Amino acid sequence: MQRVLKLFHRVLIAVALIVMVFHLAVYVAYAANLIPFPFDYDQGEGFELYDTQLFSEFQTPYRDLEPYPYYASNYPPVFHLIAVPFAWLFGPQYWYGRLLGVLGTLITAYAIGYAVWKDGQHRTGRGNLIIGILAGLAFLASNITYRQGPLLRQQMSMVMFETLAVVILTQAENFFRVTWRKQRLFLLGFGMLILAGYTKQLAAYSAIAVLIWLFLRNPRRAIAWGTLFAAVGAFIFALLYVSSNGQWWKQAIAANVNTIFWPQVEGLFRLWYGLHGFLIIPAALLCLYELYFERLSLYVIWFGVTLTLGGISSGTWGGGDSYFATSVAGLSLLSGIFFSRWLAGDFKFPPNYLTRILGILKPLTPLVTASALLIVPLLYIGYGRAVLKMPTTGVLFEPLANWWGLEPNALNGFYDSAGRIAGGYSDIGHFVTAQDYANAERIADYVRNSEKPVLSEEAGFSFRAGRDVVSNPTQLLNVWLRGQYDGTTLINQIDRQEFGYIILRAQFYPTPVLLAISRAYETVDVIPMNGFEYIIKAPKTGQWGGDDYYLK
Amino acid sequence: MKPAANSANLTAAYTNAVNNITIKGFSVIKRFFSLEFTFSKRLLGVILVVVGVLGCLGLIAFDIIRQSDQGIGPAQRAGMLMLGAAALIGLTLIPLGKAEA
Repeated sequence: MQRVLKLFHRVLIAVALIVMVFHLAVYVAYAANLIPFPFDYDQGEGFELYDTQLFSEFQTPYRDLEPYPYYASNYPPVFHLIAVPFAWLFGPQYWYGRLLGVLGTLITAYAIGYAVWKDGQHRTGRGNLIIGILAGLAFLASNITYRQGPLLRQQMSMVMFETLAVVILTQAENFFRVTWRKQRLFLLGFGMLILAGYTKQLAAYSAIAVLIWLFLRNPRRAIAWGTLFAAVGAFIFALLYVSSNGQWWKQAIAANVNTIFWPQVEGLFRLWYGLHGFLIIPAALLCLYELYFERLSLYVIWFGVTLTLGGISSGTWGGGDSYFATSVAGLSLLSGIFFSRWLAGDFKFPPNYLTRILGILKPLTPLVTASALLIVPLLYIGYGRAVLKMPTTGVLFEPLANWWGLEPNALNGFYDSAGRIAGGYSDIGHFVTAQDYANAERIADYVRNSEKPVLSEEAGFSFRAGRDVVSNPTQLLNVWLRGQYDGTTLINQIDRQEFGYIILRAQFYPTPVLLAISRAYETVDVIPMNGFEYIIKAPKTGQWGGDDYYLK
Repeated sequence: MKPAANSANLTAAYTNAVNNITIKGFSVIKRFFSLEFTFSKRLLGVILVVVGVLGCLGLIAFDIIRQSDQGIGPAQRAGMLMLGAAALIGLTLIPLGKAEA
């Protein structure tokens, strides 16, 4: 019987691996499709590139938004600084930023796999390599990782630094005695945490988790390490503050405090559960096990804190499903550890009141342990189906989509099991087409052929045309919503029709700016790209009232 | 016993008691900040219960003081739910005693 069960286990594990490798193949295909695309795919990518360019020219992107070119960044600098050597070598290009994002996800997946394997190795002397690989691939298979990974954005680099930090700190804690090696690992772990925090502000939640964990383990060490951590963090903060004349605080911190839209939080939590439920339940079971029968690991606290705080923050303007990315890393890691221990029969129940209650189930222990052989791979297969996303066109994907009866439910003929029902789940993930390239060049031609500067919601067209990047609409909106943006200079310039064209996509500019645009400019072209419609506006003719007409 | 001697005894007893409490207090703090101290499940449970209950009461008090017509909002509801859950989990941890948290 045991032999038959093990045979079934091997077959099912092979199927689970095939499913996960298929997801990896879709991810690689998406990345290969997107990386060379020389325009914004997700709104805001171009501004990240512009930050990199500014840093490569030894300028700060934390600037006053009031004067021309109305540009400031709201993100910390690490991701852009990593890309600076590429900017020196290749100039402003999208591909290396996107490649860095993909590399970040691959390193995170490796760290998850290593953590799962190491847990078994540390506890029983034998780690489960296959489950480690499946756990790493499960992270890459998530719709959230897939969508965010190949973007020129700092989210997945932050997740990489966060994951490396918690894995390194957990390994450090496994040293029983305080040795120089343990201290070095602690330094490295906290270093990763600082890098994560200065990649994206959201990493503050991981820092909170680490400090809670360390405080529970030993308050004295928590205070000592926390003080050192805070001192280094504060030093970098002060450096950025001084070098930007205080704009770092205004643009990257104060402007990022937004109110929460609760229906979006609820919708995204439902979606997160719908996609990852097959792994969330095992992860939650490990949390409960550690809570009542073992010491709480950093992984459990990290998962709990980042899920709660990241999930709530996902409801803010500028938030969204990407704010769950860290918790996806956490649940992939925890479920992997749960499966690895379950398969090894490595759950110990010290005597307490709960053990006495659960004692009635003790005769079932061999059955429960044996059932892992079937349930674990089945859960990965179920997860693989839950997170299914792929194009429904193309040589390889079309026959598969037809075979599986998948109908496109997203842009450019893409199928995404997440659908498009939750607010904050952005329209990305689909592949770009040859038509998108051609249409993007048409838009860039407007910038290229304009004698005056062009106000654009995306920087890509300006980069392509070799012209000034003018304005960062989302940051203008952030600051305006905080009541810290006047906008008179920009509005006057619009009213004077000093821009050759204005290119709009999502119309993220503050309301007074949008009103000025509609006063002085009219639509001359609408060009679709990546499933979105780009509105090209040119100065109105004939009815213009002169310099002073709209300025009162 | 003479009144003066009685008063001196009382003062000595009071001083002793204060010293004992101070020494005990210091020793608790010293132990808390020693390299050997770690949180037990019981202590974690107590902290969760205290934080959960005080947090819920604080949110209710905030709502009363604010005198809003809209009642408890979604943020407060979420907060109360989380704090209530924390208090409940805390209660279940207290019987686990000295096991390391």
